[in-house]
Amino acid sequence: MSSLSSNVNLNQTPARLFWLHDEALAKPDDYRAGDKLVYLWDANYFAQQAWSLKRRVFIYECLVALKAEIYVGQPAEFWPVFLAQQAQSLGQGSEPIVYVAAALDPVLQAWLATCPSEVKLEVTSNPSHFLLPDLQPTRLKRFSHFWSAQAKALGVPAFGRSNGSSKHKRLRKHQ
Amino acid sequence: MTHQALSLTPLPLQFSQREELVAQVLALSPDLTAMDDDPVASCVSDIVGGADEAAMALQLWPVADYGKTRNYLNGAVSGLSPYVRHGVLTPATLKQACLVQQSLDEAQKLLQQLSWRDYFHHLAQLNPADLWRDIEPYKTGFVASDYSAELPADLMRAQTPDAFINQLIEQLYTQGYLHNHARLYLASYLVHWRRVRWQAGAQWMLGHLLDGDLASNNLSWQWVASTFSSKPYIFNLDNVVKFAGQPHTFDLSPAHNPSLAASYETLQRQLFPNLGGDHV
Repeated sequence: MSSLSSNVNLNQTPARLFWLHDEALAKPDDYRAGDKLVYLWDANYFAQQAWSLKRRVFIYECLVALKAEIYVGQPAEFWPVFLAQQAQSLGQGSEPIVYVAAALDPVLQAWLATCPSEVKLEVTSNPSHFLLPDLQPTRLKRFSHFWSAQAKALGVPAFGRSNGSSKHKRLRKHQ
Repeated sequence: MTHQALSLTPLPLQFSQREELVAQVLALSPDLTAMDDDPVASCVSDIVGGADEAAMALQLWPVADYGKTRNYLNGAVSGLSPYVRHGVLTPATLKQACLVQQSLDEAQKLLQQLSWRDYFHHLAQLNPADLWRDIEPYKTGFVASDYSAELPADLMRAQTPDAFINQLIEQLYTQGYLHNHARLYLASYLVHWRRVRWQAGAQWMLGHLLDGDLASNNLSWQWVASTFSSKPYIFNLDNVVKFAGQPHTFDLSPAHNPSLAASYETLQRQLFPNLGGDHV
């Protein structure tokens, strides 16, 4: 995040630009009133993914619920023009930062990468990707290997139940 | 590639009814308008996108029943995967919702299922090429070239000889959602009964599922196919009857499901004649 200069009113925090995509159809955790949520509707991207109408409708409905700004275009041509138009209203100076959540899907990753290099893109972690984002597994040959480590990190028994009083807790709930 | 005129005017967000929104999306989808006369292509799910809908579904989810009933087609699964796939909800939110009602021990099954997703995502990030190539050889007595790269026409039309399979396909087409067990049944049928490469089925399912996630979908197909597991996953009609739950709307009569109405021993001989012995 760009630092604030001493003569800027701290109560007028600059609005930020969040680039939403199909793995991040939510307000960021640190969203503030005035921030912009922008979604780029690229028909070629959808065609490449070969997604059905029902999936596209679902995505559009999510965007409507977010009151996101939906624009038609491709990243390469859209962002430079849009940022030039928005620079003053965003109050971030001449080079606004575009915040975008990380993507996992290779097609989506490639599409995001078509954003021109002159655009200041800041990739943020995506909380929807992993239950335990910090776990760095070393054994992935089979799920059982992974689950042993994940279960330990979660504090649950990998197999069966622990010797605790879970049965009693369950009975208590039904009384 | 379709040329799209760049516009700095945002698209509308207010619609008086859902049909108008659907028409808007269709107008933005030239690749789909070319398939206008295809009834499958024009289907819209009853599952509605949005954070409020996700929150409501989360609130209504009988999470306490999940562990015991999740394998049943009418079990207490959350149905929230479309929202998780698209970032509307996070796995941590599901975990928290679960722990409000349950102890960590009791939440084990849900955490394990969420961990399958983590596992697939870790694998995909480590080896992206494994998303579309056979990780291991088939353990079916066949090699990859024995499998068709094309989907059978009767399957695409939901007109296979097996009524249950057709009902699953119709649900996939109309709702863009299937219970996980149903996905396994359908994948198994396509790969092992119809001897189609898992890649063709995975691509087909990805296109229709609202929650289609490349890593979870494709690696699950590989698990069914046996290119990412020690043996092929198969099922029979008795298994479907057991897990259909009551009441259900599936046609599970043996006469209407001739390919599935057999013992595992018989199916193994029919589906994997090169294997011999009891491998399934």
